[in-house]
Amino acid sequence: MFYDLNLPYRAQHDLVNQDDLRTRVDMLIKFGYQVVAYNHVVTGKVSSNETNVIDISDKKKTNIEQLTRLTYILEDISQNHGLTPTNNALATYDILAVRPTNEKTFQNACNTLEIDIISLEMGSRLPFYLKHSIVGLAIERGIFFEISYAPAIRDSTSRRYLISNAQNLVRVSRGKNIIITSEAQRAMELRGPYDIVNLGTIMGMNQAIAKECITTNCRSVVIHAATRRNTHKAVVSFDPITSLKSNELWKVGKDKKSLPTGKSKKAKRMRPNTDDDDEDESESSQLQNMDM
Amino acid sequence: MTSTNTSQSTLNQMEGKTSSPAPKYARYTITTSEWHYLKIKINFDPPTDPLPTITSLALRSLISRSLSEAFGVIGSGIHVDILYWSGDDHQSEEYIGVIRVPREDLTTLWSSLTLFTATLDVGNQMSKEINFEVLGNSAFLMGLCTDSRVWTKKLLNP
Repeated sequence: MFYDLNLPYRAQHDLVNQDDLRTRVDMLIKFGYQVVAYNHVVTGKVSSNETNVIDISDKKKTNIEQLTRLTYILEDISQNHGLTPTNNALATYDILAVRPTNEKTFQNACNTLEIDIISLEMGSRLPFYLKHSIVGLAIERGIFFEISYAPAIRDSTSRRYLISNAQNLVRVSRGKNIIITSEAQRAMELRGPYDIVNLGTIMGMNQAIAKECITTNCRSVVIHAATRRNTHKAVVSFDPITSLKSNELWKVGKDKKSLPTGKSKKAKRMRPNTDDDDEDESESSQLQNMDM
Repeated sequence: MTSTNTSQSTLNQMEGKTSSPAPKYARYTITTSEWHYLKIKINFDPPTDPLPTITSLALRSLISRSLSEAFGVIGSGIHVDILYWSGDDHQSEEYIGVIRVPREDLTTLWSSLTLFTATLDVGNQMSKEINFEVLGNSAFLMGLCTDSRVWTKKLLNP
């Protein structure tokens, strides 16, 4: 399964110098990618009323799995208070990424923020040094670092910086927790998966690790994101009763005829912490193991 | 039984079998191949007519340019052979070719083809952007015949 977790998305009115999303997705399908994530980039303060601007509804007919991703460009740590698990509005996007622009925000992102991907601006000189200690903290928390290859194809000065920054990142992270994505604004900037594996070899990884960067590591990102969104401290997840199939209704002691209509109900089995602030009272809750 | 020293042929005789010759083995060794073969294709944007004509001479200069842009002087010294190029055959509509490179220079050549992009003039003051697409690679020329993914897809959806 090949993933491309960064396909820039712009709203319909802002298509200057960017190919239609459909053209790029068709090219990805042709190359053999199975999952794509549309990326919406935002600067400024992390707000608590983000709505998902990415419109997937008219692309149902493609045979590629489509996810949505939000990237915040972090300029100042005071703006980041919204990036915590309690911000439910961010859950409308499948994957959450940040792009730190200075050392303080980078440190903040690696230490405390609840995110999936740290994306660095690789096409120019990085404004901060990458250190083993800080990068190691992010790796321990399960956060992935992203290398985007399309800037190298667009522009020859970016190419130099990209190769050098990528080699640096691979050295500091020892090849772990890296994903390679496209960030392609045009269909001609996309490349096939094995071409990307080869580019990864140039950046200092061996073939096996480079291939993981577009397959297993990307899958880990998607699962990490789902864990962050759907579970409480990675242990408990809630599903509304209406999502149960009819042959599973025995789990709540009901049959088809008497489905409750959104009343809250205490589960009959034991559950931890009943004093959660963010538990939604209008949904019935049911203990369920994380089923991934 | 007094004799304790029986050989296989004696045993065979006792059991009434004729003696069989010792089996012969042949050993084939495949080591790291000297050459590596790449099947490449040139894509155009926009893909409509008129397409520029690219002969194998033009292909050589494109490959050389891609190597020197990505890897400089040392890169442009890499030995590349063009074994087949469809642009030399005027009826072909697609530009597909087979090139050969020494095994140790494979990653260098491949990554420079991946990173390469250029604009070609088509006349009428129009220009098209091109890039290289690597359709397959193998240490053996025969390995370029088909790609197992494409082949399986065609098999399943005839």
